[in-house]
Amino acid sequence: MATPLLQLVNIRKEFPGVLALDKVNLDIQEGEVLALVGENGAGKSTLIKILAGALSGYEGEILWKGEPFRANQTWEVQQAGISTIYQELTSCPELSVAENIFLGREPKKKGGIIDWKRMNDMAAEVLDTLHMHINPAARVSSLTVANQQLIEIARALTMEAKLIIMDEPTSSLSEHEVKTLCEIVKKLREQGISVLYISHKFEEIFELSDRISVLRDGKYIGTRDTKDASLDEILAMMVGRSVDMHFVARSTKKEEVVLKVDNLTSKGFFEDISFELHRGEILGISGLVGAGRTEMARGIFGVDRVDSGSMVIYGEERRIPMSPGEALKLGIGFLPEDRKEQGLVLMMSIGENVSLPSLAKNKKNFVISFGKEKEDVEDYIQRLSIKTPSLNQLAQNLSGGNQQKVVIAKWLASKSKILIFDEPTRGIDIGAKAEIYDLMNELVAQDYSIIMISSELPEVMGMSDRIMIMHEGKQVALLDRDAASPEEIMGYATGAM
Amino acid sequence: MTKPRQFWKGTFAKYNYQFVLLLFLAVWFVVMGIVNHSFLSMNNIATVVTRLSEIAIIAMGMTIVVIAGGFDLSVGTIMAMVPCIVGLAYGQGVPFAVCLAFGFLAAMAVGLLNGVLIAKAGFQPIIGTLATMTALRSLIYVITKGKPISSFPENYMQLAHGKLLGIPIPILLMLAFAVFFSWIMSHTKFGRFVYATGGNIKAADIAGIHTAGLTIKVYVLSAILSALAGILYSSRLISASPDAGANTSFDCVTAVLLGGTSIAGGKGNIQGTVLGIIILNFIINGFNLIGINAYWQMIFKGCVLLAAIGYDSRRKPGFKMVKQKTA
Amino acid sequence: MKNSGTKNVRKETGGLLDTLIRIPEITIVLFIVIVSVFIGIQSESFFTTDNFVNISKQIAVNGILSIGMMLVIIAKGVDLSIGSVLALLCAVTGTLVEQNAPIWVAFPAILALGAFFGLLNGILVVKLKVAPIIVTLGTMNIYRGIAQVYSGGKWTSNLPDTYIMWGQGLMPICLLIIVAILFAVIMKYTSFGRHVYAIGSNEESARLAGIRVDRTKKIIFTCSGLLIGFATMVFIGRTGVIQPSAGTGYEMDAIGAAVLGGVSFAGGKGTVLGTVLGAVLMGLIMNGMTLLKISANYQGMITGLIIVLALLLDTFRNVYQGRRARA
Repeated sequence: MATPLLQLVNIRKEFPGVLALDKVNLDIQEGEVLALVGENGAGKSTLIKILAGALSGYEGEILWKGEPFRANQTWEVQQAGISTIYQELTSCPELSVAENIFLGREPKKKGGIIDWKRMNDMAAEVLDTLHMHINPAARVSSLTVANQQLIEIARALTMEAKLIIMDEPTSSLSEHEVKTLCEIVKKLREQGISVLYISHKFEEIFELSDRISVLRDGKYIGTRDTKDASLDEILAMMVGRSVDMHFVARSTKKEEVVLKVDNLTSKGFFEDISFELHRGEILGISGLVGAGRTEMARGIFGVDRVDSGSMVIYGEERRIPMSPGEALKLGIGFLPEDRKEQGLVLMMSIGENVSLPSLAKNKKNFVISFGKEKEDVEDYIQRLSIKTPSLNQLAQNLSGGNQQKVVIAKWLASKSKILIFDEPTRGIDIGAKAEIYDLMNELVAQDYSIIMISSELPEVMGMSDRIMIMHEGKQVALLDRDAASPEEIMGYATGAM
Repeated sequence: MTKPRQFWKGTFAKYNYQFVLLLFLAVWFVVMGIVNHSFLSMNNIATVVTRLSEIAIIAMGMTIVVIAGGFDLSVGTIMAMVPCIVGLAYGQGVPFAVCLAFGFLAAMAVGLLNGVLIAKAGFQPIIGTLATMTALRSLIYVITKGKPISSFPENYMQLAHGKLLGIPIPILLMLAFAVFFSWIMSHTKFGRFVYATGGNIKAADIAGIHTAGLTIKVYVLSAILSALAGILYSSRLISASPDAGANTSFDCVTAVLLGGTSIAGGKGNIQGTVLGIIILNFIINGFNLIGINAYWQMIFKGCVLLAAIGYDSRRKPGFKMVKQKTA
Repeated sequence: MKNSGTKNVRKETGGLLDTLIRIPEITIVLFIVIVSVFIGIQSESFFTTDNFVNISKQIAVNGILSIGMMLVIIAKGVDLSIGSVLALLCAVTGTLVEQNAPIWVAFPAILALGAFFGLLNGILVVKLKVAPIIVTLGTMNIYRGIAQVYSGGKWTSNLPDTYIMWGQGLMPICLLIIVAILFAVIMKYTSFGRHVYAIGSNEESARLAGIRVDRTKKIIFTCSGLLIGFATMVFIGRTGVIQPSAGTGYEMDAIGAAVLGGVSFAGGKGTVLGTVLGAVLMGLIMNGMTLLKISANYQGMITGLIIVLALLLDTFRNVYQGRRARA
């Protein structure tokens, strides 16, 4: 084989408390589409950040065209010929479409003056190849999420890179747009440009890629030629031996409705959401990124205001909470999607984090009773088997799974029986995932009721009693677990059905 | 043989940082004691500590504000404003207790304004309090016509010059407040919520804490403490100057950060601040005794501030400003 | 629902309100006209050539400073040290005058020195990884202290005509216009200008897009310093004396002008035209106060009030635009 365009040798990256990447090897040939797959938390995003120069402090070696290459700064990496499309949107909302596409590489006239006309023309040209009909001078903040994603793709295309890294580029695109993107990737390959394609969608992966590499728990598992590989084989590599996760059959769902919402609406985010949550039930909520699921959860919990709708809790009509404090009083708990930014005060101890909502709920007792606090928290540390030397350990020193358990403990300690979990297993390793599932099963057995928002199909299908699917802010289906097929759910979520 | 470098690193990394400050203070006392004989005299020390009690009381309020993730530049102006109001009102024949009530109410109003602008209207704390500080200072000039006020009751000076059990009253007040507020910060819900709000306001919100209300309370508290310091200082001089407290906010912030409170919020304590104030004031006192002028001291304090924030940001290498939410 | 009525009304007036919010410059021009008419009615001496030349001199200093401030605020920072840097540059000019330095040496030297102090701010901001507002709060005191120590607090008068000329007649306003046009072009037509907006809009995105964020920040502060150099020369020429205590509170005026002009503390938004118009409005108000014989003591109150109102307007703009983007 020829010298690979890019070669990763024994890449290792450690975050406090988490080994994100361990001895990862990877190579990409010129003009090849390499698919990189792995479960959430397998280390794909970390690897991409390292390649893009957005994360320093790794061990191991990167060879670019056979030469050692140390990626320290994003601009150095881009100059070398690697461009990256990130999973999260990374545009500057105040700038125009054309500016975002050419940010950092603005076309100039003589004397360093930006050539706005040429920039807009060139932007229009590349937008055309993507079949996008938007004004290059429009502000990015005025675009839809899907269009913003396409802007990033347009940006990568104009870079004249030798390697384009695409991190789940289709996560918020419609089917039509996905097709366009697939065409473009094929065209790039013909031009001898390599693509590192990260995706969860196997249809795209098998259609586009030449080879498939698998990561699991931060480790490199192996690479297969796409034409020889089967889906089962790849899946087995991805999840390891524990192919069938702890998805056990449950019959904890009771008749009693604990929470009923009707016509919940917040203009621009979600519309006319109505559902019932039963005692002992897990109600799964599926949908694409930007479908309004998180916004709905935040609305029910009072973090954001809703425009209209009604709510009945334990048979009593209640005002929709205007603040999390009110929701707390109604016995609702909320595990936000980003535990580090919203779930925990990282520089506080486990004990302090766990008792926060209880303290906020209890209006009496100005002075904290340390003895009772310690007793309570230690009880929950034990019940949720949180691995920590003591309750005085700072939350930032825990692993992802244990952090998530601390967030759950917060709400159990505050006696909330209706729990909203937004992506409860995002960014935690597989072992911890299974523990969280066990915990959820245990909770519903103890008459807790859970609304679970999740982007992972197996999780939604394995854990939920019923599944509600949202698409572009609307509730498009409410299926029983047994009646739902993955294809059906995906169909509803992408708006194809 | 132990490696001294590692020893220092370890000592610094832990909260023993304050122990290091104490050590530094001890060294300074020894050095200054040798250089200048009046430095260690009982008289000098008592004077310095009595004076720093005023600013220490303000700095305690500032500590709580900074831990809550805020900043209060208006403290020095409030300190100047309150005695002016009290003195003016007393000069008009208003009963003294009512004058005091006026003064404190005015301070609370300013604190409330600060809190509302920051918590409700989303102002950056420094900008919001900078605006109230500028407006307030000019208000003081307007009401006093730029002249010092000295219409205070006969026994007003007893507050600052009086002694209880042989200890000056301001020092006793400072100690009482220090004990009280460290207890508040470590043993009450209010304290816990202040740390949570400063540490991660989003998480605190979701935990059901009414963070906006808490922020407002914190600024009102800071204003009340500044008002009290203003009373102490005017009692010491039996006069209220409209120019007072010009550098107070800056000195307080410097001491708060020097004491180990993090400018990013969520971390710090009252003891550290008191220690910071004591160190800063004894250094300045030493400078005065050996004849280094006030402007050099200003430069010095600025450098201490930068060093403190530099050290603070090094302490958490992974720290990043909160990512912008693309909504 | 009870608020549906107000929503409908808003939709009907949406066209006008929308335009006003999208183009803040229109609002300022409107205010400028209103304020001018108001003062003109109250005072006969307002609409006179002399008075306009007078106003133009006042506006020039603040206008030049606020363009620098605008750069920093667009990139989501604030520079509190500009008044102190101005004082320090004044002090250095004093020395240059004493040494009989010709103006063609002095002018570039002051510009270079201003840029240097700005760069120093920039380096500290980048290296300490702390919000610019805190860093410049520190350097504000350091520069002020150095200015006093260096000059010994003494004033210099009897300046040569070559120094005076920069602040006389129409020179100041011409300099302001030149600087404004230069920076309007820079902000719109150079990579640097666009990268300033990008950093303020979303720093992380800018970094990922390959922009050298740290370097750009250093240049931003250098530009701000360079502009302080310009402002210093105009300031000295206008006042005719050199005083090291100059420039106190100038950061407030510059922030006021920028924010009035639609520069947002949320970052990424603002124009040179708006900023200059903001400076004009502030200048008119201050001039009006003099003409209407309102005591200078009120000046701070007015500045503070303007800033608070402008910031409230900015908050309103952001909330409103956020709402419209969703709908």
